Amino acid sequence: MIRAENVWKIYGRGEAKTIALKNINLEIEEGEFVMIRGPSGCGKSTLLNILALLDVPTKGEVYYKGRKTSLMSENKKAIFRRKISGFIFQQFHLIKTLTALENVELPMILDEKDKYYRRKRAKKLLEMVGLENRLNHYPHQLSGGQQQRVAIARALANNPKIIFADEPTGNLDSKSGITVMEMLKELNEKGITIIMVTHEQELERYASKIIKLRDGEIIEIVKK
Amino acid sequence: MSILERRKDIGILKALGAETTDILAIFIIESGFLGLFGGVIGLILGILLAKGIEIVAHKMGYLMVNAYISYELIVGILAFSFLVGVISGYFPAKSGAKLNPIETLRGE
Repeated sequence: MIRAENVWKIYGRGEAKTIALKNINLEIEEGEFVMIRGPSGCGKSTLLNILALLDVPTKGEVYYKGRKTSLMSENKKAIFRRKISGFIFQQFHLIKTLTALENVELPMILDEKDKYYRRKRAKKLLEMVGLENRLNHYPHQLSGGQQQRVAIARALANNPKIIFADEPTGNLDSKSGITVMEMLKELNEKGITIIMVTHEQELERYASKIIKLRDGEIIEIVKK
Repeated sequence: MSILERRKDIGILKALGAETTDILAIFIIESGFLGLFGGVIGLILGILLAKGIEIVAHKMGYLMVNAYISYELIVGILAFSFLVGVISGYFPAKSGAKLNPIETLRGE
């Protein structure tokens, strides 16, 4: 489904050059629960961003369903982000001036869904993540765990095939973290491909494939 | 509402799959109406001030001092303030929309 071929990410030039990713080769199949794991600064978030088409490699190619993503126009990439993938951030990244319900509606507004449909779907998704009593709350009125659940509902708004999650439990207490992981597991069981970044070894039990990264290089790929 | 916060919002919108034209539309409409709103407030204050001066002047015997407020002036001011809003929204939105979402989100 997604394949990275000789992917490099290099920041700066000359003396200030830092290599974030070194010759990454990997393949992700539909339905997998992939965990990219490594210490902080190993390039795992950079790799996730590149796979999610939020960032571009310096060298190499990312293929989606056999097609070169470097040839995709900006609008085609926007369609990929909107319809095919959903992204969950460590810092939640909700829009602060919108309510929980409006935040979940946002991807559907961008996808030009009609108002009645998106209201109904946003409510259903917030209900699914256990926030039916928080529809009209603003992000600052919600706990971290609740904000992350809003972000999950938002990521699901347009029925994505793939969920990208960058340390989704990183800013949460352990109880909220487990809730979030259980939700991701459930989504994976429904057929959504999950690609997640973490530094926590204990989360590996959720994954079907673990990609271990160190200093920008893949050191091991474990399939379970 | 700082510029950095707005840049972050642009990054979020892009990550959610907004196209460049969506981002421009959102920010231009918003800043245009902010400009218009500012124009309306300025206009009200301006008219009140002018009329106030007129009243004071009349009381002091300067009957020639009259505040003259034409419809053209009102329309012109509102259109101009809307335009200033649109322009001040367009350029930052355009530069933000061009960046990749991760660069924009990093502005925290």
